Amino acid sequence: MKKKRVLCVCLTAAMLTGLLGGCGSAASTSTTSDAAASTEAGTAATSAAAADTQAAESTGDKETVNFWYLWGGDEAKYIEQIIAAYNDSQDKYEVVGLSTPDQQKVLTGISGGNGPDITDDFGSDMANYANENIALALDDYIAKDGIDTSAFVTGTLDQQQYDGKTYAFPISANVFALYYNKDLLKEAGYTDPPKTLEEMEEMSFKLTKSENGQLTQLGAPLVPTSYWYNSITFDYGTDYGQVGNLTPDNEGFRNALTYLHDYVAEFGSDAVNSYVTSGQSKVNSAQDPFLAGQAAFRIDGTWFYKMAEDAGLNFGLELLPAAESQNGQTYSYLDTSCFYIPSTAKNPDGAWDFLKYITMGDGAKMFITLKKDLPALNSLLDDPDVTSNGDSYSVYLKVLSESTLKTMPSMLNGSDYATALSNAVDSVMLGGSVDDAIATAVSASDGLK
Amino acid sequence: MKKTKMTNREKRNNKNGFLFVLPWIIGFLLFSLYPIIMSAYYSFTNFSAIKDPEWVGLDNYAYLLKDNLFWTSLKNTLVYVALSVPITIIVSLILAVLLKIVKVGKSFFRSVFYMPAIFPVVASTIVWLLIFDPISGYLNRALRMIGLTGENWLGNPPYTKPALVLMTCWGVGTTVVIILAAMGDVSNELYEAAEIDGANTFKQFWYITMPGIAHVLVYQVVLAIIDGFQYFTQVYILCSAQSGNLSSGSAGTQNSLLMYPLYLFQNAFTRLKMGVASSMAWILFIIVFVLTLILLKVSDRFVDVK
Repeated sequence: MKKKRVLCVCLTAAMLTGLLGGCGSAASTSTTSDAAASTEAGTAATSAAAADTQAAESTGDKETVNFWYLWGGDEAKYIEQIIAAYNDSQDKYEVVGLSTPDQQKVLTGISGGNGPDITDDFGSDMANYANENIALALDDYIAKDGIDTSAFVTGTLDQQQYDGKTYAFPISANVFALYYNKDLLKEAGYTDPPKTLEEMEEMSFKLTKSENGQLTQLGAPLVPTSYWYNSITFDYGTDYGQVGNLTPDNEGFRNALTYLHDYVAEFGSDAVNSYVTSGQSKVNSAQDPFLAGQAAFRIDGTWFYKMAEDAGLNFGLELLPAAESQNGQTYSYLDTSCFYIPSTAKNPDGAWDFLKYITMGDGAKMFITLKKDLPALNSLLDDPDVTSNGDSYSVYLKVLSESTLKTMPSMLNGSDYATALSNAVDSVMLGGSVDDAIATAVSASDGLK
Repeated sequence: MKKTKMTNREKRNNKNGFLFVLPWIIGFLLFSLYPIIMSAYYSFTNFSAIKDPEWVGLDNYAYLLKDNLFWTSLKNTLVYVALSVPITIIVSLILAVLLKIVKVGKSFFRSVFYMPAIFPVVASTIVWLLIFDPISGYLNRALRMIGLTGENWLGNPPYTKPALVLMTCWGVGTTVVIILAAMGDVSNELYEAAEIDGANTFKQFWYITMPGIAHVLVYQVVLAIIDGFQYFTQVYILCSAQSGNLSSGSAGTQNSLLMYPLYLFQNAFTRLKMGVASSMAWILFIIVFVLTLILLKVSDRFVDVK
């Protein structure tokens, strides 16, 4: 009897140890994943070395610059073309590319000291990378080479800066525009897209249909969930503030929530929330509400154009119309992709040379024309090779050159702040009041860095 | 009396035996014990997995006590455990009894109920996402057919936990099989004797079957509690599918899907706060350990360990 009891306790202890071990290994990545990282880096190093030997045979002794990029598939091929062009353009460095479409892998590589000399990421991550000493500050290089950073489109460098220093250069910009379903607009008696933000909001009510307490057509651009309220917030010329003075209570966000509040009051919280939950889990798939022809408006980026075209929709694309109070001035939410040099880079000088080439030199133009992304360089905005990318592209180029671009604040607790904002939207969606939602967001963002 | 010396053969056997278990010992030391010790150390440090850890004493624990999301995640998990443990155990028990009673197609039904346990969790969660879809989901379509409106299962906070419990109930096959096996161990003589004494089926179940399988049930409850506190994969998949982004900090409408391990994961990998994540792991360990001790203590009263 005693024995069984002891056995029982032992078993339980073993189970619990499993639990802790699970958490332990998650919590102590540096230990287990360091090993993984070094194997990983080992493989990378082997392939790099192999490539290097080949390169050395053909071009003599150039210094190797290891470049890991998050792109894969066709996009990786474009990157390799740029690398080849760079290697041909000079005799000092040999860039060796490696497609590594896993951010975590890149980070563990960097932390283990076996990472790349240069790599890419999203601008929104740079504040953390700067704070955690993952990215190298570029200021000395910028000063030494006398780089004029005003060559970048205003606003695109904001995310790459933290605490007064620059940690990355942008390669492409993501901005947003308004898609509208021409057939649905026509059916409701509209021949033109809205001229002002207020007009769009008004139209969205008339473009919404419901049946038996369920929406069958979505008039408001509520899917994807995060794009619409940020875009509307910025469209009033307001933003979410900066660290030390975060402003979730800004007028634009209040207006966005008020719009949602009125919409929910008209069509019912359950109906709207159900439609949005359902639509959100199908974003960009064939059942996406806009792609299925069941949504009138959509605020989205360049990538959405081809999907809408492939879905056979009769749709239009315009700049998100300006709010009446802004006298025609348009705004766009901006996000960037960028390149940075890790703090553990073995060849930072070579990485810097390639960084200049791909973000400001010939590589930047190749990147934009091959990948059909939006440029972050002013000089490319009216470059004939770039502007010839098609109609949709010209709308977004117009956003870049005409609209005021706004980013989320560059901060360490960026994801906490984003959660506080989306919770405010959720609470209004569930039928709560705008004031309560904003008050909760203000208290939740208090003390964020 | 002095112990006799080991013969050479015994020595060799000892050595060989040790060599045989060595791989496990090395694995345990390296991949279990070392991470456990390090996570305890990290829980007292400011550590991002990139920079070296920096000793901060109890700061991480103090930070968590003031962190609203920590309390939200703990509350969500407690609600989930409180709902899922009794419900899954009762459902398993009922299924086991039914499987025992059913005489036709015995192995067919046993296979059917066990099947969910061998499906990959990620795949089945994606299927559940389709089932729970408020507009086109099968569950709501079925409810509408019988005149009900259906709910926004994964998007409306009061319904998210029941939806998760429903998912868990679908996967109780393993528990059912274990309970069924335990029922098989109960001596037939007891039932025969009871029948002669005139005990009906319910009485037989309550006075013979239940005490006979109580020790297994207690163990299953402990397992269910531990599983409940570790509930991660499903909510991780659901939240990612809803936000379209694996690494985002999203956790369902108003954080209603933010389970404790999900928040632990987000702290570790989205916010790069490994120290805080380690503290969370230890707090979880203490909670589960205490709960288990209490349960074993209480179960002494009614479990007859033979």
